[in-house]
Amino acid sequence: MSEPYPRPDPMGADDARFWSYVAEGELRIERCADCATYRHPPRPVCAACGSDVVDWVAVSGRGEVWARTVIHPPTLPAFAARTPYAAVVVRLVEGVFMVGNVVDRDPGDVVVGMPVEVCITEVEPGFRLPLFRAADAGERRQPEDPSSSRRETPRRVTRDATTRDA
Amino acid sequence: MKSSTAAAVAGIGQTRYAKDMGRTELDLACEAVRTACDDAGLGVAAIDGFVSYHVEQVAEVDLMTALGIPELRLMLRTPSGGGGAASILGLAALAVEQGAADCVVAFRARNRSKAASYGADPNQGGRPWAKGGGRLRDARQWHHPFGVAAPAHEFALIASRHMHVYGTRPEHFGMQAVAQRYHASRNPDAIMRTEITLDDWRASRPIADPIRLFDCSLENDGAAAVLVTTLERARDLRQAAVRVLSHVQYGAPIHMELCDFFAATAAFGERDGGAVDAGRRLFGQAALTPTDVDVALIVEPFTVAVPLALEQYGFCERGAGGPFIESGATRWPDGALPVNTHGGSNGEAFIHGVNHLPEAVRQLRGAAANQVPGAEIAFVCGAISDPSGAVLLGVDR
Ligand SMILES: [Zn+2]
Repeated sequence: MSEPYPRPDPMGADDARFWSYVAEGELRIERCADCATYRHPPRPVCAACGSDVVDWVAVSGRGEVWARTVIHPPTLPAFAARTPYAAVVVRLVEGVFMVGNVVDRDPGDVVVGMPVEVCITEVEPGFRLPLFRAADAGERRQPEDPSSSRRETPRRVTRDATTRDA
Repeated sequence: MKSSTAAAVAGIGQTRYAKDMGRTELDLACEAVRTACDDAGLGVAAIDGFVSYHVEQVAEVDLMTALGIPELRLMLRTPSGGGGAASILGLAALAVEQGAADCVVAFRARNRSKAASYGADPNQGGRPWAKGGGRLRDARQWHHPFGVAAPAHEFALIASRHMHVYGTRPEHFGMQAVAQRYHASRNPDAIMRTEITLDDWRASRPIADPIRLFDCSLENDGAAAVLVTTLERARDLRQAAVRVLSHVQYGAPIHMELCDFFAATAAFGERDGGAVDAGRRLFGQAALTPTDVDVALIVEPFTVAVPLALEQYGFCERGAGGPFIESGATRWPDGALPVNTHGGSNGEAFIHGVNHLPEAVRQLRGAAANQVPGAEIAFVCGAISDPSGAVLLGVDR
């Protein structure tokens, strides 16, 4: 490896919460506690209903590649040794979009429409990223697994007046 | 039509466009502004307003002081880089129409080659990863950890989606690159004077599939300015007045926030919103249709922006932008709608699209290097991938 990964250094509590869950090995996405609309990247209010109460929901991590590219030099120093590499935008089944990489396919085999699932990967000691791997298309059609322990523990965040006024 | 005063472009100015000119952005801006005033036959003291992009590094008061402008009544900035190109002219016209100012200069200056002049603004230039250190506090935190950092990466992802939905091919972008380089080869002010073929485009190195080097905007220094005043006043000045027929802006997610960009699929005109609605307002206000347009200046950080803009503003059906280019429609002189007749961002210069404004005016004065015969209506739009806008300009009849 040449250069270290560029690491998030979020200023806001919402962004920090996303990355802290990733650090724990979980993909959790903000979902409005009032109207159940998912949103990502994190935002202070629900664009659908205006509520500022959110549940941080451990999501399925399943989705499809919505857009893809193969990146050649020049690029970020941390990625320079890996060119050409694929980058994707994934649409999760929950309806939100994430930028990522597909870890188990050659760049040329990453295509728009392919089903993927998240795999939280320690890319450097102590630093995890939500990446994706190819998923079986049949698996996607199954209903979300209700027995998943991760899904039973949404974490609700209610903003107090101090936070809202800040 | 509203009953406000009509606005017109009375002067245009631009510096030489080149790499590593070794001039500050203030120096470049002063030359472009003074040239626009000279073109109009006005002294710089007549200027009472400035409009620019939010990424502009030259402060209005520095221009005021350097040029000796006694008083400014209006200072406006508009969001985004390439998205601001048509908007700065539209806002200058808005100010004149509403009587907020009489003589407004819309400008942008950029020293793309010299990192020292960029300031702290991450939008201003330089490699994205060389700005702001390795720690990510803004929207970059959703892109950079995955190796997505440059505008080319973002536009490549956008292009791939368009290709998937509509069957657009990389060669469609290449054909636009070739057309614009042909235009540039005949434009003495262009940086790239050598014509290219589609095979040359195929042989140019890949940047981010499907984008190749020849699809990319240039990295250069330069500045351009347009002077907007009332139509009545413009008629008394040196040049034939070019009327501002209508102008619009629209809010939309920017390519630097791809999660939001793809959530708002209006980016491809898949539902109403963004440029689709803005285009209807633009043409409606002028009581014109896209078929009335003689020449189009479409700001394109990468050539993929051209088919997307053609579709969303209604010059062709949704998804038909690639075949429209393939038909030769965008190529001067024979195309039905010559696009970027000065050579565009991959041929003439890239200063976040501000150089597209003087070209639209030259076309309507009959003074362009690649003149569209009898051009009466010109369309200019900012980058389709941003909060953006568009203007319609017309000859004074
Ligand atoms: Zn809600």
